[in-house]
Amino acid sequence: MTVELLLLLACPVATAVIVLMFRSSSEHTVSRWIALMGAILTLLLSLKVAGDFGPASEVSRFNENSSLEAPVNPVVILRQEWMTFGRNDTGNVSLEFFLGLDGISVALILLTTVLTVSAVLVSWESVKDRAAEFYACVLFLEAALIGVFCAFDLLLFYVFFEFTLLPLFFIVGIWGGPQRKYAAVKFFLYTLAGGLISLLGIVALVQNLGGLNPAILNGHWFSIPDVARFLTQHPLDLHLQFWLFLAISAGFMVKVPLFPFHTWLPLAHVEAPTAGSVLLAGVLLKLGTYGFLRLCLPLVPAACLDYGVPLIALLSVIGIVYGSLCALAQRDIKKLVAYSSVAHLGFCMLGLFALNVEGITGGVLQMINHGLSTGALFLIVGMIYERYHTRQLDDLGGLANRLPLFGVVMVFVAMSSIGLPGLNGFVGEALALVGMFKAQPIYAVIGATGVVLGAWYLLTMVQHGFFGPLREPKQHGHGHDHHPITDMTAREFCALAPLAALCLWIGVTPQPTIDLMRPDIEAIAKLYDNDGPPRPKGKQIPVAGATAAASSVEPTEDK
Amino acid sequence: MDAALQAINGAIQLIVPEVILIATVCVAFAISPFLVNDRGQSNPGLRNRWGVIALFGVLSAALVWWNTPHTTVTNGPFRIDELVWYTRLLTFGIGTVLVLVLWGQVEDSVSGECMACLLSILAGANLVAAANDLISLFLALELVSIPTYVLLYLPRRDNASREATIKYFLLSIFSSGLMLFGMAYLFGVGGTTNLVGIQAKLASGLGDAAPLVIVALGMIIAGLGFRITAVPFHFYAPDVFQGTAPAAAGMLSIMPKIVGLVALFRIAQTVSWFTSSIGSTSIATVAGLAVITMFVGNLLALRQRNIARMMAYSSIAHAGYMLAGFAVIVPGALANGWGAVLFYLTTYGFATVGVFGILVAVSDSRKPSMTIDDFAGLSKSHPVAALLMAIVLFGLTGLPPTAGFLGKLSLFIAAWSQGTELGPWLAILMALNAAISAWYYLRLIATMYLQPNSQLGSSQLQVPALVGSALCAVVTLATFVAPQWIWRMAESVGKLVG
Amino acid sequence: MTGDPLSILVWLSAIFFLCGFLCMIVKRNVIGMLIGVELILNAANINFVAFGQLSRLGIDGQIATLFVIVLAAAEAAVALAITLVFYNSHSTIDADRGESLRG
Repeated sequence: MTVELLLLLACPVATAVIVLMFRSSSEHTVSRWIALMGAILTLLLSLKVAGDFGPASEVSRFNENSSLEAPVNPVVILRQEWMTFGRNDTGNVSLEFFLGLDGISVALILLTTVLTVSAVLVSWESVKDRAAEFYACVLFLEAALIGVFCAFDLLLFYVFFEFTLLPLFFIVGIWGGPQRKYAAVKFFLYTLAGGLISLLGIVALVQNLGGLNPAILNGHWFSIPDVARFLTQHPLDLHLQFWLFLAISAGFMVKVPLFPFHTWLPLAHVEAPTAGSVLLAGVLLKLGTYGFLRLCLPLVPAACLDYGVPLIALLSVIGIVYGSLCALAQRDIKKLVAYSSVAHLGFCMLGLFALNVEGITGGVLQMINHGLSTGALFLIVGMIYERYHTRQLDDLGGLANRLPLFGVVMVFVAMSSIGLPGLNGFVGEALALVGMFKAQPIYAVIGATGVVLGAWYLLTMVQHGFFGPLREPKQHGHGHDHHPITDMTAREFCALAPLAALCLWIGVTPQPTIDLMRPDIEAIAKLYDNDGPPRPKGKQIPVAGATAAASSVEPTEDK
Repeated sequence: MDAALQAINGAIQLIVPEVILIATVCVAFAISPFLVNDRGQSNPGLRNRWGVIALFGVLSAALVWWNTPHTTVTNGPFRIDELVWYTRLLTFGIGTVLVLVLWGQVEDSVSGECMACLLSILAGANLVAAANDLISLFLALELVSIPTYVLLYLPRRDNASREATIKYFLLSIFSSGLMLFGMAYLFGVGGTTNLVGIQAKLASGLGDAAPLVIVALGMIIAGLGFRITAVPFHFYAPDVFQGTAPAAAGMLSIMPKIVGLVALFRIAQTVSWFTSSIGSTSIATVAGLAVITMFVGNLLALRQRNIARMMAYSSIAHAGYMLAGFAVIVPGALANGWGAVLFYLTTYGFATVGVFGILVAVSDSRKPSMTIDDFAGLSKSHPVAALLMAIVLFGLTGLPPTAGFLGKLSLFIAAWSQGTELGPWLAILMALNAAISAWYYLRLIATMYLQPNSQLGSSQLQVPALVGSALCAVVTLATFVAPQWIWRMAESVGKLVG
Repeated sequence: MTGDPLSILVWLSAIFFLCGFLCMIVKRNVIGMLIGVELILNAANINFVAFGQLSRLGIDGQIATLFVIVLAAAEAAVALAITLVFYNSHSTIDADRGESLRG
């Protein structure tokens, strides 16, 4: 298991290096084949890891030898000292290479590896300029994303989290659209600034553990499972938790993106090349929600309940409604899909901050669903753009006549994105909304309007673009490529088919996926059961509105 | 007589690596005038020979240092402790890169002198750490300063370079004067020039001499602040960096900082800064200087188009971070401020020298001063150089996976864990500044990678400088993955204050 | 206190230092500034010698002074060389006449 996981991390990096070594060949054929091989190999490895995870999770969990409750309870793969802060012989505090896996991370790693293969396939013809560098960036990005999902050290998590910026910066900035430079820099600086605040929050959190006594926790002050377990016994002061919650979640709010911090997203999506959009929407945005799930919920539970729920739920529903309305107004299909991401991620956040098993399950499921369906939408948009060099709804229409296969897949994926029962979107959205309804009905009701709006803008787009009379841009390809518009090729089918199949599979039988993640979600949700999260005794500082919020958020009685 | 000889002999034994460096310097200065003909010309390729000799000198000194067992000696003119060990690590590491960077930048006829100057700067930096006496401290500082003047002028020799040298020279000698005056007061209060003796004297009570010590400290901080490029003393830096050759500017961006910070630490140790009553006001002063320095450096760097000027302001900003670390040296905190500063010096040093190395590698001798636009499309014309540049620039920004991230992190943690009101604010301001600085480093990277047209299309890369930068990039990445060894060393130096 | 020879010398050196400091700030001429620096260095020298009378061995201060004198000579040599070069190109030794470095 250890070897497999390390190989899983190393495989994309090694492939990227090999791709770069063969960059001198002016042809892009070599690079893309190597990259494809690497991506497929990584996918196979991730399947192997996922297969091994089930048996391993029964024997080697983090918490197996302890009687204490552990909200974060991964299968420990590797713990290696990285940097030790010695404190005058009274004890050391270590940063660690702490790699582990739990159900949630396995699911997200699979999502990453599947989407990377599609991303490589969709770039097959469209990326010819500096192809080797492009594929190297995609593979580095894949490695960083896998790293985020299996990092269980606070700092290691942050490192992978920030490192994802670099390859994506180059992907957007070099191979993007006309405004790529601006988009790349804006994306980078936004997320970097958010990430730095998160880093400060992490450092502050660690500093406040038990009054700077390194003897506690055996020096594992940065290990997420250790700290989470410690904090269930020794909860932090509520006032402090509030500030920590704000600081730590800053980077994630930007990444998700929640409502006022979303402005970088449509720009980056529209300018990014198709592969970039697919990975950005499919996996990178999930880093934000995953960060909330991994750091905020287990580490500052009381603040999540008292302050997080009102704040995040409010921002989420604003995001859902605002994102949907913006999507409705777009004439550029890619921008439409980008705004739909803002709305869909709102559902994820609503689910997570329902703080009960249903809600969190729905939120996580929605993360995966959004990755699949929006990834597929971006793939289709990219493929159409390759044919017509436009994405404007005004220029395109009735494409199903010309491209019947595309029409079929588009309708299917759009339905999945809308949340048609029987497809994946339904399961996730329904669970998230049910969870939120238990916790805060009002937000669930407002959020539910997002489903209607989602159906509206997606169906409008499909109807406009794919049905009705055929409308094509007159002068596609100014003389340089006159080859006729063809329907989906085998390569494109290979890129789309797995995503569509997974959409259907999760929609019809969601149980295996849910079962995979259930123990880990239950461990977190347990924090919020009955009496709510542990609080410090007797020194709760009342802040205006806090008590009101706390009393209105009575957790559900039983499951 | 025999006793005196033995004492001298014993003292020399402690500084063998520096003696080797100085011997190389003597050879270079003695021989190189004879290799130049009447018209001031010499054989082409002479610089390669001097480069090899200088490299050989640095590496053999490093070898001797490496094989010397760790000992602690506190009496006599030289004090050997962890600080000296770490400073040697820094100077030999960075010195090797600097030799490579300087290699191709000098004309053949003056290459011997240039290398000799560089080597004596390295020796001087080590001796500053080893000095256990006001006199040897001052001499060591001047051993850094005087060759610096020459090194600023020799590689370029045009009007800009003359002007830069004059500016640097006048301010440098002024700062030396200030510092010497402060040292004289310290001598007066301590009654001896020996630092350990002064420390003992001051520890036994200041009495009515406290104002004199504070004046002395103020002058010494001012004098050293000039070398560190702390803010009220920084204004020469952009002009000098722009006016001199990039290789010399690279030296200037790191060596005076090592020297200044190490000397400041020694002085602080001598006056028991971290434990005595003088400390609190001095710490507040240094913290204030640090905050102003980082903001001025970063904000002014934002509007520079010339890379040398930008890097000058960047070096000012980094001086601010390190001074902030200096303000949070608290015995017993989770991460020691001084250890963090030393670790930061390593990460920053290799990154900044790496940037100047690339400047040298791609520079065109007809156009010594480069703007950001000159780097447009570098990723296409020289992909390796652009990649190395990106790595070291990310190192300066402090992004993972580069050592710069761990450097900033250790400073954050040191600031936050010192347990006073001041610390968290310093950490927050540092984070804010890191975000600001990302903008101008990123702009350079964006210019290299995101702008298609190439300006430096046909120029030939200078191989030694490229090798030097590659070394820097490797150190920057490797220190991120395996920081433990260097960090342990830095931390053990931090424990000198208790 | 004023009758004490030590304090007289310390005050004298302080005045020298002030003169040197002002000279550095006011003068724009390189040679003038150099003279200012020499004044500062020699003020420090006076201090060293004066305090040397107090110290245990008594010769620490004098030795320091000797070293500083030698160093000042070395600095002056380099300084004059640079100034000469500057004069050859700019035909002036005013330090702020240089125009090529602006940003």
